Amino acid sequence: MTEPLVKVQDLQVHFPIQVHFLSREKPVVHALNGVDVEIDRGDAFCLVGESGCGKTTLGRTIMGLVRPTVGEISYDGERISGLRDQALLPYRRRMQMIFQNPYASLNPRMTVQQTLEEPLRFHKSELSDAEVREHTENVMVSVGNDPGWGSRYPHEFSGGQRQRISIARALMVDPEFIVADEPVSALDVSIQAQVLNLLMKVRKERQLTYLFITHDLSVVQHFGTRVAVMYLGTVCEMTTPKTLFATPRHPYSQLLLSAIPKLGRKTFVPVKVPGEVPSPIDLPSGCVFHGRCRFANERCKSQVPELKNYSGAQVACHAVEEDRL
Amino acid sequence: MALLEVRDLEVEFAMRGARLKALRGVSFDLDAGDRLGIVGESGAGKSMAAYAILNLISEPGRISAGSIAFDGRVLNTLPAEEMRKVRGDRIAMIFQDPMMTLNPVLTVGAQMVECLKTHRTISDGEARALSVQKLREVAIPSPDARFDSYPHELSGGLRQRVVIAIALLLDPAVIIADEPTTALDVTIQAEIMGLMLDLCETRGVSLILITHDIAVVSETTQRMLVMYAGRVVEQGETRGIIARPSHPYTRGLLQALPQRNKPGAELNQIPGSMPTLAELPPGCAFHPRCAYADDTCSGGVPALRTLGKRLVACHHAERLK
Repeated sequence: MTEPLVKVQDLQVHFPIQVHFLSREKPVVHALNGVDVEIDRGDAFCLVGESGCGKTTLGRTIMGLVRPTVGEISYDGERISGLRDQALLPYRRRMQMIFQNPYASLNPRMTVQQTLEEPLRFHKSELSDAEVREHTENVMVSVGNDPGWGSRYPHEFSGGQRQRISIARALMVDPEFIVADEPVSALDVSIQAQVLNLLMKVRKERQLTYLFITHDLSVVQHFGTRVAVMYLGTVCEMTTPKTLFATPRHPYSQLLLSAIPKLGRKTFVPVKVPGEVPSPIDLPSGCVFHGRCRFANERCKSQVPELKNYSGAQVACHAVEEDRL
Repeated sequence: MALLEVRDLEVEFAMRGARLKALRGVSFDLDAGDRLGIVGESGAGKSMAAYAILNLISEPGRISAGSIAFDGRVLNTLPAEEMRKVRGDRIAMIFQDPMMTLNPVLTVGAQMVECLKTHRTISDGEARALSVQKLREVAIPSPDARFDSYPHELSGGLRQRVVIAIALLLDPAVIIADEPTTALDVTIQAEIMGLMLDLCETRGVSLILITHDIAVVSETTQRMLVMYAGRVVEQGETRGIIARPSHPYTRGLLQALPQRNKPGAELNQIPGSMPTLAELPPGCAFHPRCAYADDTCSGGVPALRTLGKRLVACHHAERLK
């Protein structure tokens, strides 16, 4: 078997929070609690989950924007977690990021040309001005933008156009891995389709690997080759979108799927979920989902379930393991 | 006569010498207990319609034509003082972001009591008892304790429940909900929608649900309006429109949804984007993005006309059949 492009092992990320400066308490937010993920080359790996489940933290930690508390991240076989900024630079060129809000992720004071040139001038300073301009033009054309936009500012563009500019910026340094954090969530449906189509097209043309972070399961079903469902800083199920939609195994995956509004369903099917997502500061013992799970028993309350293989899926659930569902 | 009758509603903004029409010719009826969905993308004019019903359009905007009749009274010509008595009392509104709707420096209870005392003569004790009862009805755990909580102490889902409790406080006849679940996660959305439907049904409250999410509208409303660039382009029974849209825009929106496409295949996208009000194309506002467009479309604005059981504003609606 070939080495995965990105390998995350037992990743934990804790953020300390300030209480009182005299207090001896040192509470932390448990953003990620032992995540193991492997992303193969060519995958469109989707992370789904609700707000606060740690999907963005996982993406940012892989990008080296957040330092892991415990655990290891390897990229193309080399360990990149814990590297100094300088040593990380060559990897930074190979991985790029696209953010959710194109209104916030483009510098309003830079022209489109300046925005696009910046990563290139930083990572490939040996290029001449003419080469930089030519490359910018090529990338703009490949994402369907008018190269004449270069002298204009972000505020002159609509949300969809801005997101295409962000995608162009990410492609400027010819990366092989892109972390896209909710890239279509801020866009209207008709524009969402345009941007998703573009992301699929450049993936094919450039053999890109994606880590696609989203809360929208219909996007996962359409776009993803693999999917990890996250809840409160842990992965509860990891499989292909097809398997997840056909046979969701983890009780949380089942809940999530049942909650999506369905087009053309004639009546509203209410979802009954006891309680709310617990605080990541005081994590529940055992399985993080046990407080809301109707299959929970004593073992779930005390023992953290591990991801285990079942035909076609990895699931972290005692009830699945004991066949109690 | 319907409970709420909106006729040829038009909202106009005076901007830099020009007059921009944010809403043009919106008409609909809402009967007691009915649920109506208003769907469209950002800038289509959905929220504008809601604000116009409650007479909340402020300078430089104004209702420039049309009428809104509620329970036999014309609302758009009511004096401000009279309108204030209707607003929040007979017609309540729920906004998108519960954190922005609730006052962060007042407790939940203080905000509920304030609302009650503005509209009713009621003692402190009764106001508290009634508020706690409403909090219980929206299934907030330990409502007595929550009465004294501040909004920041509650989760997003609980906050939106509080907003719903406030909307229900004075037993309104109509609730206008503007993207009530857009800021929430899907599981919370499902709970909140379930709660709203339940409450509307058991009390016979009418609901106007404004959202960009067609799937939510398809599950929860009986009739719907589809809006584009300030106009209604299609109007009728929700189920029929979802199954067989008659307007190319409605059809485009439905076909662009990932769940209507084969996984991995190219999505059916609508090219271009919605024009701004200042740059509306001549004729049908949708024609530059429409596959059916021809010279008739750029020549004249299509009227909203009857087609079967439905209203459609398209010169070529028959061709979509």
